[in-house]
Amino acid sequence: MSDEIVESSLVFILQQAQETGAERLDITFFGGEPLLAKDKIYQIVDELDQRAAHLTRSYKLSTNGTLLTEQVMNELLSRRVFLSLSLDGSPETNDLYRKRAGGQGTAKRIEEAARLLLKHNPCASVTCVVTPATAGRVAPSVDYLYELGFRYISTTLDYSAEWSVEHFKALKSSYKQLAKWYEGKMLAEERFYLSFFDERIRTRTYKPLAAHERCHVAGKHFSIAPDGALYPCIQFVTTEGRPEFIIGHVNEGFDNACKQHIHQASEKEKPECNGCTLEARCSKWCSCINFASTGTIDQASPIACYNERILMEIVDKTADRLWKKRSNMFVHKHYNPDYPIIAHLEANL
Amino acid sequence: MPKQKLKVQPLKRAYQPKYPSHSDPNPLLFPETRPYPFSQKMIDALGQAGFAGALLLSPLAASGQSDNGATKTNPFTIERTNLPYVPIYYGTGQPSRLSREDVIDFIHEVFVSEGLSPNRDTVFTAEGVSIPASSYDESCKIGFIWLDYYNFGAGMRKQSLYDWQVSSFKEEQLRERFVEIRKREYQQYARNPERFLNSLVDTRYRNRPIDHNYKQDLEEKLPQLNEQAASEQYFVQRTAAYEFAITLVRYQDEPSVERYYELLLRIDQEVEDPIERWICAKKTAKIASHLGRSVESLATALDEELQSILSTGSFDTFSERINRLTELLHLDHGNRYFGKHNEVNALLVEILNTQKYEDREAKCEDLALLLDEREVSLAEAHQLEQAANDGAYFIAPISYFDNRSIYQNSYNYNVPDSLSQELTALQAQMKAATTDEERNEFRAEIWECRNKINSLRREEATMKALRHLEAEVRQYIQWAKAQQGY
Repeated sequence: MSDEIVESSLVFILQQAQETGAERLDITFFGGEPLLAKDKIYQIVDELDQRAAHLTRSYKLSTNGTLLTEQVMNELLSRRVFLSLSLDGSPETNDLYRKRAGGQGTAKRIEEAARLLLKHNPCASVTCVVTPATAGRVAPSVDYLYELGFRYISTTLDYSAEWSVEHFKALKSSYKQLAKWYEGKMLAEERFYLSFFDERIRTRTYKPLAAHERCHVAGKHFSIAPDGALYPCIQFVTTEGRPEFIIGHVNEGFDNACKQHIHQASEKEKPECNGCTLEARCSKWCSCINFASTGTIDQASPIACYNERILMEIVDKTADRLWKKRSNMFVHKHYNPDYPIIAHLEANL
Repeated sequence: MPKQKLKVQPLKRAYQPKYPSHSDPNPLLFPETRPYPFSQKMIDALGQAGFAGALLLSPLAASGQSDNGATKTNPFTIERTNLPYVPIYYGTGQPSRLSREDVIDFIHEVFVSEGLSPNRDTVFTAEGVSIPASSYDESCKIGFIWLDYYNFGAGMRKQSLYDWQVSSFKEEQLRERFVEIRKREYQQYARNPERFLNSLVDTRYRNRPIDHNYKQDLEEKLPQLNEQAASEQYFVQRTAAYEFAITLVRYQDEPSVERYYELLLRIDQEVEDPIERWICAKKTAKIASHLGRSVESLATALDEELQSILSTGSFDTFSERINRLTELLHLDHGNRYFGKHNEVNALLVEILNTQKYEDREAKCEDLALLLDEREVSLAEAHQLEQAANDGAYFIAPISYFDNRSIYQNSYNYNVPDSLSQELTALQAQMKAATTDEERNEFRAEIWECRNKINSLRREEATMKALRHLEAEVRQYIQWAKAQQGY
């Protein structure tokens, strides 16, 4: 991203905040690997701290950790940038896909970065992406991350990959192993977050998200590409040659017609989901998942559909067992509104 | 092998989880929920922060605790019902107890105030249980039943000649008991004949011809019988004959039970054994009570049935039909529904109006089921407790004999000033009255005023008991919710 685009982006962001009357600003730095441009990140944060001092600000950065050093860590911490690490599990699993240009695995380096990150922020989160090739290794991967010290583990499927029924058979077996792992940890009153399970339990213990509460693609959120093009969400930035998803430019502002068209498409009913008993609990409305999976935003993702059908039952049965045993941690984690604060306080001690 | 392609498929039947959803009560409110399990590090940190630290986190720690101090145990067990009860026929020392009129509406409202949606007076049916729930929320499977004389079924009463809910009349037991009592009386007679015969004047003796005859027979015949066994046997038989005669006299001038009197006359003619005659009179007494007191439709149907029975030539057939009729009437062993409950009454009349006995049988079964739905046996009450412990459903058995149903009428009741002044004024006016007519008027007004005070006194006392019961019911609901898992 050139200096000119950086400046235009800052102006555009502040304009948007003013026009919409926003009180808070959430900035997330994505890549590729954003730390390749760490100086630009420092510059953007410093500028926003000065120019948007009247707004509540939060900065997040998603990194693969290969460039994370003590010095970088200190620079980011001094700017209150919250880091999330991408690590797909045990070294063998991670090195299947995450390799250096020379072909060497990155796991060892990332593990060092993870320890560094956790030393400075015990609440740091890790994102573990499950691909068809790693479908059978989810439970050991999660356990590895947990043993490494992570307590906030976000797990997600690679929705852009080519999944088959056979892959899901392996995944189902993994989920069953993971269910035992989750149950054991809960009964031992361990504090942790595992998105695969906790988010699905949440779809039952919390009210289903109303349309206006969901991620507002091409609405409140937007992403800025290195060339200044505006996209509805980070997942769309890679749509080279798909100009229909560009919703404007930092120098020219939003193309409102395009923005509205995308937003409306994302809100469309999904007739293919009619009559599904999990409709209120699944993520069919997530445009990013639908786009990554189908190339469109108004069609439900078959990958997500398969995943929810398999995972929801396993999660519900696990939760039932914990409820039947009256797991104290289960009750507080899912029904005590103060739990996130307590867990955060405890993790930082 | 080519890979199978994925496609979106609506899931028509999904696994139904049991853990509480967002629409269920928050489990943090359940009494069983323990406070948040703080880590040792956190506890140590709190310790270092001292009282301020404890204050800082106390709302968080407390968020797992119910604020109503609910119990972890079921407050309405069978043991607390004091059932089966022992009937007490005499004595004035019995405590006052809440009635169904006091309790049912009140407790129903407690259930409503707890966010439940119970229905009043529903028949609850489950495996081994068919009972009239006083109030029951079907969706949350929780409610209560008020147990009292109106719905006591089999096993609820100890030491009873009539085992409630057993339709057949226990003739043998009745005979044994009759003979046993009369033998004891004979012992009294044998010890002091004069005293015994004189005491009859104070009990059964009414100076009628039958009384004279009985006394005279005992005085004349018994001394002639040398052997004690023969003497005793004569006493028992003569007393049975005397008691049957009393029954005859009792009904002979009652127009409403004319047909029953004819029935007794027929028995008197046909049955030789005096004890047997007495048993027949006992057995058929229900007929008389229904003829005399029942609603018109039932009295008419019974009268027609009796006419038909009396027209029977053969005594065996006559006896068989009488037995069938008494068995039918003993279906309502406690005299609680026949002539009182519309649905039950209609079916009973329909049975009596059905000519063929074969056709009556199915209807009798329906009647028995209908009555069974109105009653709770001790076995069913135990079943309720078991079901609650298993988490299947929760119907609290609240009994008339439960000690929590007792209320103490307080003589320390503070009479409202207005009533106190009114009473004093009336008493003064009565004292000053010059005629009996005036005095009677004031007496009536004083009576009314005292009734008002008594009514208020009772209201205060019952309300105190009801408030205590309310707290127990709320605990029961909390306990049930925790057992049920929502």
